[in-house]
Amino acid sequence: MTSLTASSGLDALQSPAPVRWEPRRALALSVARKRTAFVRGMRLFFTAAALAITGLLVAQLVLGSGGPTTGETEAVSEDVRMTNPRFTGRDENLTPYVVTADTAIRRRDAADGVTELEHPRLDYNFLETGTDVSRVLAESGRYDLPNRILDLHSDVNFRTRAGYTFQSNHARIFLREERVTGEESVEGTGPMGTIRADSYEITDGGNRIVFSGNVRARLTQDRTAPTPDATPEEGND
Amino acid sequence: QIGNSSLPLDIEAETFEVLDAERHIVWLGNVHVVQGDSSLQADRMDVYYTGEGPGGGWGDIDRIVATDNVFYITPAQRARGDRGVYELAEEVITLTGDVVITQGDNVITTTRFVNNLTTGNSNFGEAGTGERVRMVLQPARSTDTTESSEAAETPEG
Repeated sequence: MTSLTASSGLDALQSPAPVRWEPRRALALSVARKRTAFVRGMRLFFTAAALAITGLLVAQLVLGSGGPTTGETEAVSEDVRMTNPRFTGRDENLTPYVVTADTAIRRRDAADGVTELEHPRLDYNFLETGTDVSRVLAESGRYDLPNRILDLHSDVNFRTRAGYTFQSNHARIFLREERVTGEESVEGTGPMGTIRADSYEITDGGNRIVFSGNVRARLTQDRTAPTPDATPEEGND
Repeated sequence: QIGNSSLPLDIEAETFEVLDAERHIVWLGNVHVVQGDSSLQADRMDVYYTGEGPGGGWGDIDRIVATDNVFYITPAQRARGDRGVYELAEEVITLTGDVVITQGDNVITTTRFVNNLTTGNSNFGEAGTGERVRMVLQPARSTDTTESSEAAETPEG
């Protein structure tokens, strides 16, 4: 305040006194409060934005850590879903096989190398899936890549090379050793007739088939339905 | 009787094993075969086909070999033995071992029983083995129920 009064006498001797520059102090209290609030808001906004960006960066790093996959992949929450997956391999006789499906799902909590399949199909010399190799084997399945085991569930339908058909709700195909087991009831047909049982096993490349548990069968014979043009020497008696 | 060999065979068992290349089926565990109005039961049955595998068809059932606790039951008789062979082409059943045949009240025991299902002829025992065939025949009951029974021993076969 004192510096102000000492200079007032000099001012009077000079030509019209120049206007001194001072910041406009006409800021009313309410305007000042508004300005403070605005500044505080901006500070919060920028802090939150910085945190969000950091979070996104960390998430990107975590998601990006998975290995390479075949088929178009699409990360759906926890699981990785592949469309038109294709798994190939050879059994112990070096016979090739190809497992395909509409969709494959690798669950995050699933054991290593185990993939769930929707409408699995199998192109494999030991088993036929009817005339159309691309025919679906079952509603759903699980492929255990390390152990080469294909588990099929619900509405399982397949045929062996020797002409035996199987309808069941379960089939476990051991792709390493041309072997199939089924732990649920099965309806089977073969050259000799029809069979029903609680479980079944196919080994030896389809040459040996064992049906177990409450087995019911009807064996029909050519004799039963003699061919229309059977000549006497063809007949059996 | 198991004689109309062209009829289908309905079979129940605990296990059914197919050996495709050999055209051979094995039935195990309380095996029960029904054909027409007759049945064959045993602990095990092997079914052999006439076809040549693999590649060829299965053909017809050539024969059925039943082993252990064999029962052959028809409306007219009930026979049991240790082993039974049913040859479908010839329509002949052969039971061997400890064979017991019951027809109503009549009982026949022997070691070999051959039944031709087409002609209905039966053959008991086996020539030259010295085995005896024993028969207990109950005469047909007349209305005044006079009972007499005699054990008749008949020479072999």
